[in-house]
Amino acid sequence: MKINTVYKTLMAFAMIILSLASASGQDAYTVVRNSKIKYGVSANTEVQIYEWKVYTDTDLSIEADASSECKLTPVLGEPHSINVEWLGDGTYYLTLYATGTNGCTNKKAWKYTVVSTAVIAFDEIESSDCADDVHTFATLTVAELTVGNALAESQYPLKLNYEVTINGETKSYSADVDYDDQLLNIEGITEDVGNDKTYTIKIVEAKTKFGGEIQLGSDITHTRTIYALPPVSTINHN
Amino acid sequence: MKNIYKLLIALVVLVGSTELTKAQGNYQAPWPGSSFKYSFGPMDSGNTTKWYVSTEANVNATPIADPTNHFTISAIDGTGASVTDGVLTGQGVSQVTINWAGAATGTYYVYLKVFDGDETQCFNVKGFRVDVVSGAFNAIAENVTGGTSTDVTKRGEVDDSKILATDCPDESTINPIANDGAYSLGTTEVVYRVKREFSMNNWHLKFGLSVGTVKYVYGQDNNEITETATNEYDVSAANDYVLVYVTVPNVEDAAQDVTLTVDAANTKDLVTTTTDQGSTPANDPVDNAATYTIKAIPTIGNMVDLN
Repeated sequence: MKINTVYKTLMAFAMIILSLASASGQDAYTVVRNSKIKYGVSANTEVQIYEWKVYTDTDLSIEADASSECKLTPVLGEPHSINVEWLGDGTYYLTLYATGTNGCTNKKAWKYTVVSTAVIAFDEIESSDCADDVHTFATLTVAELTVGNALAESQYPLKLNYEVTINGETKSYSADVDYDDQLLNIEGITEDVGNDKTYTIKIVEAKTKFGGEIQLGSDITHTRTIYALPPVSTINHN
Repeated sequence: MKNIYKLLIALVVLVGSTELTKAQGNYQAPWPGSSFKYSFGPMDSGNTTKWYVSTEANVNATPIADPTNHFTISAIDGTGASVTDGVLTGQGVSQVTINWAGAATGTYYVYLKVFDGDETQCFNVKGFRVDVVSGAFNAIAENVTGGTSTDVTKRGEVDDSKILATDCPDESTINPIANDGAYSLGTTEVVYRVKREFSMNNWHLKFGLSVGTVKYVYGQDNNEITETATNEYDVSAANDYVLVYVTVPNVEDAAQDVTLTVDAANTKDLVTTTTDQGSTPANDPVDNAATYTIKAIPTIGNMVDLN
């Protein structure tokens, strides 16, 4: 009995550890490529000059290339903030030099990792329904920063473009995917009680809230079949 | 009558410090451990000369026969000089060097007796009063931040023209990466010079710091000095001063006054044991403390995603 109890306890611990590990996900300093993010520190009246730089080395000596790696744009009237466009994969050190009214300078840097590994796909690639009066349809998406690591809540809502094809005719739509339900609401599906219809839904582009580039996974096409209802003859009164 | 020969012991010509680069009192009031040249003017080479030191002030003054704790004497010129029982005898010795011992104290008289030929001839004699500085010891603290060299072989040297009373913290030591485990505001190096006065002996230094810790202490001779207890150092006689290098952690939004204060009761001459506090003339407490001010740097807060 005791051994069994120990075993169960160990299993419980293992489960907790596993759940903690899988919960690690994306931290605040991991950024999806092509994100445009505004950062800042609290305003300090003692500071006369704020200077923002971004470097690629820990010695803060090699500045990132503004066209291919990272581009900084000042925020008008808000020198303690900065607009950052993360253009290339890699490790960067966003650095702030703050010079006081006495001419003395403090500095602080934050390490950011820019990745292009974010992937989105449908959770299921097919579904069906019997034709009825409810024409709305939503299906679950799965967005990951890396395999097994969910995209952080801060990246939502995701901005998706998708296409719906039926009978060789394709229409384009856009929709947001919220963090809470991760559902993509699909437009353009009509439920026809008279005929079976098969819709092909395909994600064509996905971006984070910050414009970060999300790759398309293998399961980006979802087939939705609407079954017609069997005909029922008029009741005959004999 | 013969012993008062017409010999003229001319003007008292006393040659000053032999080591002009170091303070050591003066020939009339030398510090214990110091060295001076003494002369009463040229002597004829054929005349026997006797130099000696006494505590008595008369023509028959008794030479100090055992000068161990008082002085050593040597001839600079003349011939055949030798010292016996504290008396330097030679031919035509007109200049001597006297090293006043570390334990020398009080009033001495340096005598020259010169014979008109050998010692059987008539002689003249003249003395000169020397008051060895006794019971005095003073330590003086000064800020010399900015005046020291980055050359490790010159850590005992100071360029006084570059000394700063205040400056910004050392930005180069900041480890600025806030989210990578090793963030630190860094440190600033502050340097003090502690000088001693009224002694040429080995000495002992003890001090306190208002903030920071000692990085290392170097003597005037560019050698590092080993700590004997917390902030205490035995300094060899060769060093009139030491440089105390202090490491002060940087802070944000506040200036820091960094003060080194000599512990007057425990800083002393190791031969005479006279302390800075017990010194005669009385210790001047004003010179025991020196301050350097590290200016403030502004606070940089946490990074916030403002979207």
